[in-house]
Amino acid sequence: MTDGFSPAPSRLAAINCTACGSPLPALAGHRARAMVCSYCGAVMDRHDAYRLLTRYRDMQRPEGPFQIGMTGEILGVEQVIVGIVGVTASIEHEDYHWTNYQLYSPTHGYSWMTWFDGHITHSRKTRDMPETGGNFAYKAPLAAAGRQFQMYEQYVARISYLEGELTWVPALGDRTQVIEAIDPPHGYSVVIGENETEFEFGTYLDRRETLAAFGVADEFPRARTVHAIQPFLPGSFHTALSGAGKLFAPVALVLGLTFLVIGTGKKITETVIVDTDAGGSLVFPLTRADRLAELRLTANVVNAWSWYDMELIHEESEETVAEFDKGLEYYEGYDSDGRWTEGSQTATFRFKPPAAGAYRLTITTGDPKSARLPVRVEVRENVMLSRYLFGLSIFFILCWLSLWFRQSRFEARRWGDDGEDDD
Amino acid sequence: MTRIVFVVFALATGGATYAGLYGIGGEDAQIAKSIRSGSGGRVGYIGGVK
Repeated sequence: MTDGFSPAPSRLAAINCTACGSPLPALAGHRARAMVCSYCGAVMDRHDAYRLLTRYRDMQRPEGPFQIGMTGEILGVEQVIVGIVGVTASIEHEDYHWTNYQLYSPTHGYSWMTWFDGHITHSRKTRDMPETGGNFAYKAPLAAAGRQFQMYEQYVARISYLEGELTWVPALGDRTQVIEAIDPPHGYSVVIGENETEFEFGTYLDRRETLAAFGVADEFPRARTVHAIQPFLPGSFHTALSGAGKLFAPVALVLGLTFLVIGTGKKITETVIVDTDAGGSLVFPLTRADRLAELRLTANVVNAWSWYDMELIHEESEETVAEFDKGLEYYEGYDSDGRWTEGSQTATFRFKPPAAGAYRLTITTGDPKSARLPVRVEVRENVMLSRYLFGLSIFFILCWLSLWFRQSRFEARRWGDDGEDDD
Repeated sequence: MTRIVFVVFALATGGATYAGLYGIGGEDAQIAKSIRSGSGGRVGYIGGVK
């Protein structure tokens, strides 16, 4: 009994270096032009019986997680790594190094995977030329491959390392001018060589998934930078937090404003006690024991203070519910900065009555040195507090804006506008 | 995740509305303390006249 479909066993072809005799894997297709020996740096012509073209000794392999011969799936296509090219570029007086891995797929041909500062990207040649020509202008729009890109940067890239099978015959130190435009998670590059100009379409790859696809443990340092085509992915929690904040912030704000307007409650009574030395009182009903009542004292104290002792008595039982006191002090004047004031001519007390019913408030001037001034007493009930809803609305607004703020910082880092690299 | 966050925010809004409506935490400390401790231990009696 046989399976309906039985794939052919993979066959690892190999050749011996024509310079040093070391065994080298031959994994690429026929279009690969050069083979660079991993051991002696010999560059051989694959289309001419591996004839020795030149040799680069003592090349230092650039850092990166992949090796020639590794296979994995990228963007749904099974790929094998057949070559490695180290690249160096000087951008704005700073040197950058990255590692390009030449990929080969029997069905999709050749493409590149790039490792740069912990980021992994994939790029392939495209025949989609830019819809408009012209010179590089920072952040200028560039339409190509059905997308609207933004010009990102231009630089001259130089080959600093070679290994394995490659689609052209390279030379160490070869230079190409590169113009990059971005539309995360994609990029578009114009690569201008000595004899030809090529166009490349790039895609940012998920690092964890890509390393896992190639069977590499992710033991490499985390990326310190934001890659040019790295998409902003805030995560489901932060997205939900921001979305909910955006929805609930106006709700809390409107409720808070409503409480502010109608939460002053219902005025029960208002009276002026003229002779607080003799003591005065007022009687008022409170209908709700579960809601806040408010007493407000106002006296026209100016550059003075007055102190009041108060007693709240339940009328029916003649029992004292609470005893409390409060001073009003208010000062004003002029100095070199202009007019100044300090203190307040008003004091507010909020409380919940222990039971509904009529209450009597007695009030007397409590201190012999206190100013003797008439005091207006206002009583309100059903007072509401807007502070919680305003506090909550601020929290919701922060949740909402935090995503925008985080994305702004992310974009600033992408474009190098965050000031971290300023001289 | 979105559903959980929305439920938490809705509960927080409801809680803040309830606390604002019933003035939770809005009492003057001196009066509240006086009412709680009772003037002359008579606050229990006031509760009894409800």
